[in-house]
Amino acid sequence: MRRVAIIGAGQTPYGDFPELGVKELFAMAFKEAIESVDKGIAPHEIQQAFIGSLSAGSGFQLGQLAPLLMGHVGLPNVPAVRVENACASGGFALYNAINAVASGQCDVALAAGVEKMRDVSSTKAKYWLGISGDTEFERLAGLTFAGIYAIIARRYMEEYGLTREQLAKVAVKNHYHGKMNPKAQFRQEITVETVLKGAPVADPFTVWDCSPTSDGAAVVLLCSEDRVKEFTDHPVFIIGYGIGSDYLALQDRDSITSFKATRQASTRAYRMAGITPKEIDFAEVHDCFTIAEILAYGDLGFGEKGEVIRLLEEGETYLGGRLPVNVSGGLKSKGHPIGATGCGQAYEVFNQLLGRAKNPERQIKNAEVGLSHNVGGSGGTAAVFIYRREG
Amino acid sequence: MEVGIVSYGTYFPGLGITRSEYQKALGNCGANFSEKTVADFDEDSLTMGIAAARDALFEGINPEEISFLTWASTSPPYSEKLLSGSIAEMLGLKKNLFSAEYGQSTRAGGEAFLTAVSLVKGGFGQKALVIVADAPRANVKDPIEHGLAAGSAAFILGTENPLAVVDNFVALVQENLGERFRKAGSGEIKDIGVKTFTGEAYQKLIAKAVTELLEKENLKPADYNYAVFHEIESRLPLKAGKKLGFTDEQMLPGLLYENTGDTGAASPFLSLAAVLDRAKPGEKVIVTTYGSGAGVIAFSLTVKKPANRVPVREKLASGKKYLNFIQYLRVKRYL
Amino acid sequence: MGAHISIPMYQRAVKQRYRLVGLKCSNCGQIIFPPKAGCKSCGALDNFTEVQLSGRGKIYSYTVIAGAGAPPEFSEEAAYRGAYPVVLVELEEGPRIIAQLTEPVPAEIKIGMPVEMVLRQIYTEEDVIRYGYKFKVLEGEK
Repeated sequence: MRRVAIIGAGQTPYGDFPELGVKELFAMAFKEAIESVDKGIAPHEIQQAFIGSLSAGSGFQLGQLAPLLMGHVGLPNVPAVRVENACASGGFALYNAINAVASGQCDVALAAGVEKMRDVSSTKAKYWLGISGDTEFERLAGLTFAGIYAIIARRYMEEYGLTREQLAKVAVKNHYHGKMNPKAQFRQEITVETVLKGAPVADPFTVWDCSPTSDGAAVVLLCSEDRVKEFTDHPVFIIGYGIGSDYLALQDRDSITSFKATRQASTRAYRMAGITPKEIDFAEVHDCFTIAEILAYGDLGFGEKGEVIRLLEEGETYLGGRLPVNVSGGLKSKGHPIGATGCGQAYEVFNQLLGRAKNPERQIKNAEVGLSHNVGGSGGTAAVFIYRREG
Repeated sequence: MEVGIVSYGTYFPGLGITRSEYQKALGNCGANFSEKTVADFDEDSLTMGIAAARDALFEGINPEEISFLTWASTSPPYSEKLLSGSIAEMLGLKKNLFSAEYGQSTRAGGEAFLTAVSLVKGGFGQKALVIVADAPRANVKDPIEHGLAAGSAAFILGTENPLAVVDNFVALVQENLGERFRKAGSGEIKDIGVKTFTGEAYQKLIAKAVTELLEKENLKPADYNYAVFHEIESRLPLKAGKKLGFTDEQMLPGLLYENTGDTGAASPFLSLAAVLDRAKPGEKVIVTTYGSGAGVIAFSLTVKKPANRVPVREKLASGKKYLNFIQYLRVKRYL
Repeated sequence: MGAHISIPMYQRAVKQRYRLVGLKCSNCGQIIFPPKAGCKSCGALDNFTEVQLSGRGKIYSYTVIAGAGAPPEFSEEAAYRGAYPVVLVELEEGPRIIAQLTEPVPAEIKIGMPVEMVLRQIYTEEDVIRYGYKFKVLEGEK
């Protein structure tokens, strides 16, 4: 297997874009990715494309979305495929693209994610958000995604004494970060009180515990080690990656305060990279709901399950802390255009490692190794990537 | 061959409303109860019937032994669609069973009960399950709505080791216009509101049936320990019973309306269950079921052994959530 | 929103939805609900027998879905109830299942409360009432 590097990345701002459709969003991120390559790249250098999306624009193009989008940016003959694993669609697109390059199938591959969630009525949005659990048995209990994570949160509180205020601190931190990110959907600071007094969504969550629905796209360009120099002197290598899966429904899992899929994915990624969690300088983790970031701390090995809340309490996961987490604002504040999220995380890590964070005040100093973590649904799938700046 | 009740079960919804809530909201209440039962948003006669049947199947009864299923309700969840298949699946009954579903009037329970008795008596099968469940509706602006409540009862009939055996019955019909009716396609019962006219009809028909039954059995009212008169409202049953010579002592154990309201077809069977809760071996019970329009089925039983069930009155008194009038309107989907 | 759980699909699972029929793995004894083709404990792919679950269990975790956030099929219920509780129940026999908690709901829901299965309307779509299991907190525990 060959080593694979990111040579360029682009991402639209996340949020509400009534004038942009799936194609326009994808083209916007694509253009930025092409332009981000230091020594330039001709689009036709791309040999394969993997594009993550859950609903393909709320169902208008569930079939063959990827070639449609590639055709839209003038590359109809690049073999392309849509990758779907709910909220981890982008992460799994990235995984497939890395493997295509690593295996020698191609030298340059595109991984992308795109979602258009704000075009539809709230009823339809709820429909699309509700199709990724075990629909037959979870959804028919009247359960929403927020509800599933809320059940996890309640159990976590019971088992480990996690408090409502501590949960809120995840949102407070990520909004603090997101305020600095010009591409974030919510750029406002909030307090624990804001979270607690928000409109209830699913006990114990208020609206401030939940990531928003968003429009957005992200594109990552990958290249094999032997050809990296043609495109850049500052590659970011993916030194470890792994994926994991589990029963979709909470009811089928032995523990609901840990995601086996994440543990599986991160164990593989760390092993491949030959490093331990201690060597991670910063991470973008899947905080679709506040509890999800707490779960991620434990499942990514940042600390022992139940004790990881200390990381937040002591400010270690803030920008400037020992292990900044979700400096982009995370899904919570940056936004969560489902299929785009995994590639958007890679975009953030790439730019942070190269010292190219758009706003200097949010730049992490001297980071060498970053991690991204993307979860499908409520832990049915997960993908973890470890990146290192080389040169 | 003696056929009787082998087991029984009852169910009331966990919601209730007091008469004073009606009075607060509407200035008056057209029915004379102190509190009545209310089916929840997600309940209907089928779910309530299943709850009562599960209660009846509580111990030692193998659902596979049930050969007959009879169902009675004036408020089935579908006006057309067989419910027996749903019931068989919901309870795990065997599928090769004879079933009949009744609901043309509140006498439906009597029809279902006697059909089942006859089938078992005919020796065509071992056991029958009778489910009577009701949650009638009317226009909330119509005083007839005020009394309407919800409840269900289920009986397992058989020949082995019964709690009470059925001795005899009488059934009568007559033309009676304008009393409680529901036109095809409507979900709401009505009546023409001529209370003395309809009250007379009820009393006369009941009296005729009970008198005939006493003659058939060659017994007097005093030979019975309990008498259940279908509580279509609060006062008529006692009035009808007294005219026939029954006493308060015989009738009070079967009077539930004060705490339930009008449970439709289920009413006399909930009352029968309340009587069986306390009856001793050797005691005799007379039950009348009334259907507007009109008809009566009266039957008599002899108790063989004490029942060991959670008493109906205890169920009625426990852990209810009381609604205000607005909540009531929402729960009933009137709003 | 459309019927993504079609009537035929719903009907194929009525045994589970109406009365909690689970599977027992003859190989290792594991009780499985809802049924699966592979045993979650030993991986066996055959020799399962049907078992009737008791419907009794304890609340393992819970949430209360606020009205506005309910899935479309439940919007009418949410409009009436304002919010409704959903519980993850650990059954006596081992499997956990997710379902709504019915009235009377205790003032404070607690993990560990004993509950019992009840049959209720789940929702109505295409004018067809879909019945299924919910749970109620057992008497005396409120």
